[in-house]
Amino acid sequence: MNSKIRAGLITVVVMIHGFVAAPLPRSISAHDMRGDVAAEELDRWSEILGSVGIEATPDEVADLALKTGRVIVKWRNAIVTPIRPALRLTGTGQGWGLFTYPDTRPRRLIMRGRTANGDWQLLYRTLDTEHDWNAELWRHRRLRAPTDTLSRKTRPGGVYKNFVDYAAARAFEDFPELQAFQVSFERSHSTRPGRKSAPTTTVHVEVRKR
Amino acid sequence: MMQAWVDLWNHEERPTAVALVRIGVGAVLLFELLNVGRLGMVPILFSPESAGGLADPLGRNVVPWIWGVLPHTTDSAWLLWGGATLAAFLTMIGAGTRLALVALMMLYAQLAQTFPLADRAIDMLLRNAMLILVFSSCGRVWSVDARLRSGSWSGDGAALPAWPRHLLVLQMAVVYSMAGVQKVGLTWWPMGDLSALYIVLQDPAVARFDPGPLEMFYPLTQLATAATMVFEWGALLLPLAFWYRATRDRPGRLRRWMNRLRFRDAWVAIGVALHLGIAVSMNLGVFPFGMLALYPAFFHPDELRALGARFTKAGGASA
Repeated sequence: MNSKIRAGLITVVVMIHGFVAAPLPRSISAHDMRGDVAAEELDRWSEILGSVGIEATPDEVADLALKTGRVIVKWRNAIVTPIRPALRLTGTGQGWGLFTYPDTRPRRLIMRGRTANGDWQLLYRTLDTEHDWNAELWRHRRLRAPTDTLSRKTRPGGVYKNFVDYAAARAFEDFPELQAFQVSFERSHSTRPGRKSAPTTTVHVEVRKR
Repeated sequence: MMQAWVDLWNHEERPTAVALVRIGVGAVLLFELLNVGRLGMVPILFSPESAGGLADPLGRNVVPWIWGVLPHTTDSAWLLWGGATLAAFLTMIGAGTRLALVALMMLYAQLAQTFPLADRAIDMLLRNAMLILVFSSCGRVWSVDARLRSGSWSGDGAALPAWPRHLLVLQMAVVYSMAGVQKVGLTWWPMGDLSALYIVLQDPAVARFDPGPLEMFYPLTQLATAATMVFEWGALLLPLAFWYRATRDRPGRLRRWMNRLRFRDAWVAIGVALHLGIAVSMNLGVFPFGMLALYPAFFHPDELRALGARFTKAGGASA
């Protein structure tokens, strides 16, 4: 291939992928600003801006972020939409941001089974070496990541319910004495050393009966 | 300037670095797919919901093309998984390399689109690498193709276009620098007490160990947070470091300083340490190994040959 044509084609590819890689928001909504992690970030930004003489409440910071973000999303979508079919076919793209916002409200997956006498027994608890039924399976990134991502939401949706169905079926097979099976998440609060943590709560409790 | 850009993509070299990347990517994905099969996850991950899968690819606006071709059954999921696994094996050994890479990339993309939440950034990065490798001569060395073509596993020794390796380097620079630029969470910065990794390591979903005694190591996690940020933002300088290495005879204080510092070598060493640290302390699956599989691209084939010779010599001496 002619070296100039090759360089030209590579330039086009680099420019397209460079734009797709640019750290611009892909979508943004008021709902994104209501989470606990977002609230902590907004409070801190408000404090930081205040310390350099710019008075802005967390709501005002959120409003500015929303307005700016929406304009950027509109422009980004206009440019990326035409190349989206090619990206979809090859499964390629540029979306990186490992632990962009470390999650200060992590969740721990819990699975319990109830026997005929009514006692709930702990079968699995993430990182608990004494209760590690099928730990390798639940800890595999292809199951761990979706369940953890969904557990951040107020309503984790159909995929989570399907996951509970699947886990329940496995439990009833492995433990014939179980009458019921429960999946939930323990939601804790991670802080820096010396800071007070919010109490741990239990969320997304789903029960399946045999 | 224009001519320098054209020349940059016009070099030739032996394709050993891209061959190592091909072997690494193939091996990582082969391991990943076999492990998914061993754990019996194929039906729930790669079947449509109606056939027992967790996700519902058929209910989306754009249905993955594979589900327009295959019947919506668990057997189809196994077939899709089997095709991708075979393609990963053929990629690794370099048999029908180009076709194997195209098949792997396309089938792996269909697996991703069947259950997008189970497909992570590392999977996308490896598909990006495969797309580049398709256009490279990575099958001309250390492959079944090389053996059939030249009678030697090491190929015919021909120098071939080096631009795919350069593009891989650029891709890695983009990955790391964008990961750094997007770390806008305050805990990554001194204003947030550099507490990001301390918080991440308390997350049971990703931590490998119970975070009980983590508080004792808080200063160490702060140091690791700072090192991560320096490393990722440092990737912005990586293309410059490569340029300075290639033009070391030219003048310039910054060029001299970066070459004396051996910026690229130091950066790569930190990267290797970072990923090994992640592999030990976090449960992120093939992520660290997938990243490291791409690292041979950072080295010119002559450097890899010299490194190989050093290892061989050291091995011979110790024996």
